[in-house]
Amino acid sequence: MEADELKIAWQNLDRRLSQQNTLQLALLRERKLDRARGGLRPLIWGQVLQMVLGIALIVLGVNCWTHNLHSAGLLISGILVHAFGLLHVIMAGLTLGLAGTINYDAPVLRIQKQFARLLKVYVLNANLCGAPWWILWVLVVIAVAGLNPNTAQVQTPLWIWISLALGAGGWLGTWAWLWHRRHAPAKPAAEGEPCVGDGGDSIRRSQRVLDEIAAFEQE
Amino acid sequence: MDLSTTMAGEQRAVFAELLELHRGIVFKVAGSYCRHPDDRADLAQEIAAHLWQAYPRYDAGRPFSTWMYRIALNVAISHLRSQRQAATVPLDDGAAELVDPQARDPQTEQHVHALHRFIHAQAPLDRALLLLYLEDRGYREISEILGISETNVATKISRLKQRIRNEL
Repeated sequence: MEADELKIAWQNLDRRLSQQNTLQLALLRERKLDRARGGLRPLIWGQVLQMVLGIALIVLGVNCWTHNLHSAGLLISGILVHAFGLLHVIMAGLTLGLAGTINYDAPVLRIQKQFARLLKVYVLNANLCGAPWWILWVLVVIAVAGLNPNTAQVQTPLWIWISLALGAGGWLGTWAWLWHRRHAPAKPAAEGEPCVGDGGDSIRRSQRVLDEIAAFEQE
Repeated sequence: MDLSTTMAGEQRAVFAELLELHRGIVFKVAGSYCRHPDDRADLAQEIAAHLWQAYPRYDAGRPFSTWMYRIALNVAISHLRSQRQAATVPLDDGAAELVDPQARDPQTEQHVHALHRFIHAQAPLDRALLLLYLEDRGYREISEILGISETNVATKISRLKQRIRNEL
């Protein structure tokens, strides 16, 4: 097809699609413009909640370890809860920082790169702060118990050890599964849909988008 | 009615006027990134909502169409990437609506369908470039919309023309 034929074909295609657009424009006016589904608001609220949770964990952890300096179990539990609290705050802050830089009116490549980076950090955040809850909840229970001087002196119950062992197994299993998914060979993409439905996980998808953008940028 | 409500109402009216004037951009972008009419309507709505949200930041000294293309393409590309099941949509889906009962030239029909298939077979960023090329946008405007240099735009369009010649 030559250039002039291409332009004629485009005009024809546009005209045929426009016949439906007349109806759609009415819908565009009627519906509320204030609701953008693809917006980042749910993600931002989720990260704010994670930050609040992180701060609560820091307060709990610090209270636990500063009051139990002579009890190794409670001291370690308090420090771990403190550390996970910090991790929750830092990762939420990082995700919020990246989400805050995204404005749809910036050039396409810049925004698409920022989206891919945000997705990568978001998935990392989910892995670092989500998976440890397999055992973190047990540490939180211990830390709460450590705040009470009466319960702090009691010997560690058996169910705590069992829960810790099961949790550690579940945690390792989750990471092994994630690792397997990340390194599993990708299914071939359908023609014309190189970034969609690739069967891989989100990190691989975000990396693929970044690679695609880098390839597009090259002359 | 207080002053802020009046100003918001005025702003909305100006925006609605601009949207009406440039509505073709919204529908062309939605049409290039969604094959199914319902998906297209949803995407057009999504683009309009993002345009409205970004409108307070719009710099009136710059062309409205460039600003609109940036937002529409960003929303459409993000929408396409989030539709993981899109790969399962048959290539001819949505082609029925392209049939023009009054069309008499079979070659024109063939060209329209071939172009439709070609557009939807492109990667998201290449599709944006193709759309802007078909819309006769200048190299400078395309470079501002996509965020690549004018030289890069020229090189890519030259390759795109070659591909069109080979594949269509």
